[in-house]
Amino acid sequence: MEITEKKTDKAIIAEINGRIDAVTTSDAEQYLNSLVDNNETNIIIDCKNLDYINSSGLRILIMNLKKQTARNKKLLLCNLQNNIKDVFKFSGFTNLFDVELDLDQALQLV
Amino acid sequence: MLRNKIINIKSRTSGMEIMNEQLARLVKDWEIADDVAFSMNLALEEIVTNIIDYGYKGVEDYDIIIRFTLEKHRLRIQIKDNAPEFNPLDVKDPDDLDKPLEERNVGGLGIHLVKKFTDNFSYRRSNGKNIVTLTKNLD
Repeated sequence: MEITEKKTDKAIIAEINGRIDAVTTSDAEQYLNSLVDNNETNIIIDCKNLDYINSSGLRILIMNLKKQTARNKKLLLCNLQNNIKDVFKFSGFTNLFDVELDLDQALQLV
Repeated sequence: MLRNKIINIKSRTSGMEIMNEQLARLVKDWEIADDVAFSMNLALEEIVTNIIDYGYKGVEDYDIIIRFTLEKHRLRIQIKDNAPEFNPLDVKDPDDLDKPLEERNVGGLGIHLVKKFTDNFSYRRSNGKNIVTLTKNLD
């Protein structure tokens, strides 16, 4: 898993590349927790090169979505691959995240 | 054209790393489609994570034996452990999937995803071992 980060005046865009799996979960959790805890801003996670996520990854997302929502900031995902969209659909996560956004659309929402 | 691979991993993250690498290698060698590979990797990780966290209570030195079998029309993965009897099919399905964010639990999705991403998911207890079998059709 590799992460690159970009800042705009309205959001931080984090591109997570590779896999959020049993091996990388703790790194992903540490990264996302500190990103959210240390920045009071909107966050967009660009998933175009995210190839895999498991239920631990979903747990990290929902925890941080709760934190962001509580302080009126957004946590958006964009460019989800089809397999990952399926994980979201089966988990009821499509109520929590719009899984059809591309990056431009996400940027317009922040 | 039945092909088999058995590995023995320890109940820790490095064991799961070996497991995932092994699956990736078999997917290549056995020319398994990406969707099937994704589904079975997910189901396998959820089952093994469950065994490590709940069955073995996070103790890192226990054994988990995983057998991968390529049959004519499906991929089968059997996972065997020595933890106390536990049937993952008894885990209650989450009942909060339609709920708004504030009422959602942060966890509890693992076994639910195994059911959704496999074509068959079964459990038996035999000779003091828990045996979970997952299958996914290839076409």
